[in-house]
Amino acid sequence: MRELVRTVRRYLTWGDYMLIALVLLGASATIPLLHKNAEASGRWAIVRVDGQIVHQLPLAKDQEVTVIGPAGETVIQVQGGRVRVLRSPGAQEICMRQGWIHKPGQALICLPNRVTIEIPGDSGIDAISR
Amino acid sequence: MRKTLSLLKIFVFGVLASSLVLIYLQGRVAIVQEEQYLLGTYFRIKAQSRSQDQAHQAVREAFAEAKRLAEEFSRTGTGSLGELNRQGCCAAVQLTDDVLTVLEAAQKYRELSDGAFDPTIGKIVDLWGFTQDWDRAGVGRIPSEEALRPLVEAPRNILIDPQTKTARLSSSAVAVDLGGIAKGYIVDRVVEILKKHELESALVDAGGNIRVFTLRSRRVLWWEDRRPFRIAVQHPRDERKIIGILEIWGDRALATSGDYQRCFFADALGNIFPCRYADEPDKIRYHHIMDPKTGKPARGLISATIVAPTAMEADALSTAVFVLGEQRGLALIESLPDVEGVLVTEEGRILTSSGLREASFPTELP
Amino acid sequence: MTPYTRSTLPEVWLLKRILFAALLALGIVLYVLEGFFPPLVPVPGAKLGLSNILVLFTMLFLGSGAGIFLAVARSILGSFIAGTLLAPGALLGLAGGLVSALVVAFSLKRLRPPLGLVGISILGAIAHNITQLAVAYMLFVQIQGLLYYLPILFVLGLISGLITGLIAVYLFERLGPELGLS
Repeated sequence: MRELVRTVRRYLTWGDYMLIALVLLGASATIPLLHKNAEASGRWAIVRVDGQIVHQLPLAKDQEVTVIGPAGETVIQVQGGRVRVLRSPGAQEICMRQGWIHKPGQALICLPNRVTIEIPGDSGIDAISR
Repeated sequence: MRKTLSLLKIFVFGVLASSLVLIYLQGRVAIVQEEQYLLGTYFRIKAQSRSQDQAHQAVREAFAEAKRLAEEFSRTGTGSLGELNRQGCCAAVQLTDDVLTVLEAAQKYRELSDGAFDPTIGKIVDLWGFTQDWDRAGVGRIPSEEALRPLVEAPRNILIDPQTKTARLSSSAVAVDLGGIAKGYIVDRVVEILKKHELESALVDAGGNIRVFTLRSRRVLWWEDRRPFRIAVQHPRDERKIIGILEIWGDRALATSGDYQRCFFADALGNIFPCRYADEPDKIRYHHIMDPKTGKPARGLISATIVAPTAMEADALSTAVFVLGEQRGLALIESLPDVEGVLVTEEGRILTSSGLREASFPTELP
Repeated sequence: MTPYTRSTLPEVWLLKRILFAALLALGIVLYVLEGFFPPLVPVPGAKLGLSNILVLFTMLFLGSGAGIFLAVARSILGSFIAGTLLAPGALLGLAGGLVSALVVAFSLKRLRPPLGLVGISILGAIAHNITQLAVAYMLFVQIQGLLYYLPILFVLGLISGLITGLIAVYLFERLGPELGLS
């Protein structure tokens, strides 16, 4: 092992060490981006009412948005790279009970108010028969 | 020797150059997805084509047709079906070709399913509160025996005259409800329109009534190669989950009938509550898929998913199988070639038909 | 003895070409093999860059031009053999390989004093990864979150560059003097 380390040291010039340090610096500088919203930053939630796109919400930014549909108000919440429906008219409360989504391809559907929230992309599932 | 090596160089360059040209030539595929609220549900069409314009055009025409048909098939609307229901017994009403086709198909499925699929139960369904504006109400009601019995016992028939393209209802107990088949028909018509355009593949999803097709095998030039459509089956007791994924090749349709789609709960005292996917203790679930023989919600299965060549068939059969129950439903599926199904019983057992053996479904609800 | 890169003897001319062919063949094999590893990053065709060692090697023994040519030929022929030629992975591999080779060639000429072979190798590997990311980002707009794999790519480039660089130095030390190179 020590033999190996000595060999390695011999092969590297001072310039090499500088470069390595620089790369590590650069990597750690971009790490904060990686963890928190890495996957989410590129992602958007597309909100449609009656089929028309009314909002494109970046999942990286925590926010609460209210849309108005034929049955009333639907409140949508984005937090920590995920999105869910807080409130929406409809006796069965299906879209609220669907919980959080965050992966591309996932969608929330609030039928009574004709609201859909979709994260575009390919999730490996093309449709759900229900 | 030098010559050979120069030739080699030229050959390699040749291969390199032509490869680069080929890579450049593969175009990007355009995927167009749109949805509209129609027939009480979100209607989504996803079309894939080499040409963005073709895809948009196809989707536009498809939705136009869907809208037109939605009005046609409205139970109480201005189309011929609405007219038929308004007439009640017993005069003949002129029907459009679309409505006629579906009515005839409905009769066929009624016989095939031994009465489990029955388009004449509109009034029974209404009694339970599952009317056109169920969405707004969100709950139904439990009808009395006295109100139900006459509707259940009366002979209910739709007498169709294909020559004159008219139909009449046999008694006042009949109201035509094509809810279990019309959506499928509309999906099929939409697919026919999509196929007229230069699409590579498309998926039509009308609130769970799905049909997919692939026209060109995109084999050589695009990386997605040929891949099946992956369609999941909803978990009947948990909004967030699915119970399995079906890989669908070619041109096929799926539909699911479930007791969680339109329903309400009632407790022992007769109080009515909106229902949820999950069951609630001390409450009985009443759903909209009636057993025509009893006039009450069919019991035994909580979800029936059918895979069939057309959406209309899948739609009708999913209702029929749901009502027929585990044994007779599975028997019906097995008796039909090209039809497969996934059933979930009230105890949570999951059954798949013989053609779906490779599909990985658990045997119990997760 | 003249350094063999500048020799004009006919035997050497032939030997150089044979050597090139051998290195190309090796490069293709490595390229195809590393394609079978699961991608560490969800980018189709993202490769470890192990075959870059051969690019470096070629540049040292046969000149920068040969090295660049090798990089391009290796990518295309490798994709061809692996059956992925018309897949986006091929494009990424080609772009990554080419840019990486150019960076290495440049570094060999200008950055040699401060940087050793290892450093150059690291630069090449990082250039390879970043180029792949950039091309993927430009071509496949659906994968929006790609940019945020940057830190991983830096580190991966560092590691693979380090490994290939160390191997290259080792070999160079052993074989260089025999072939008249410093």
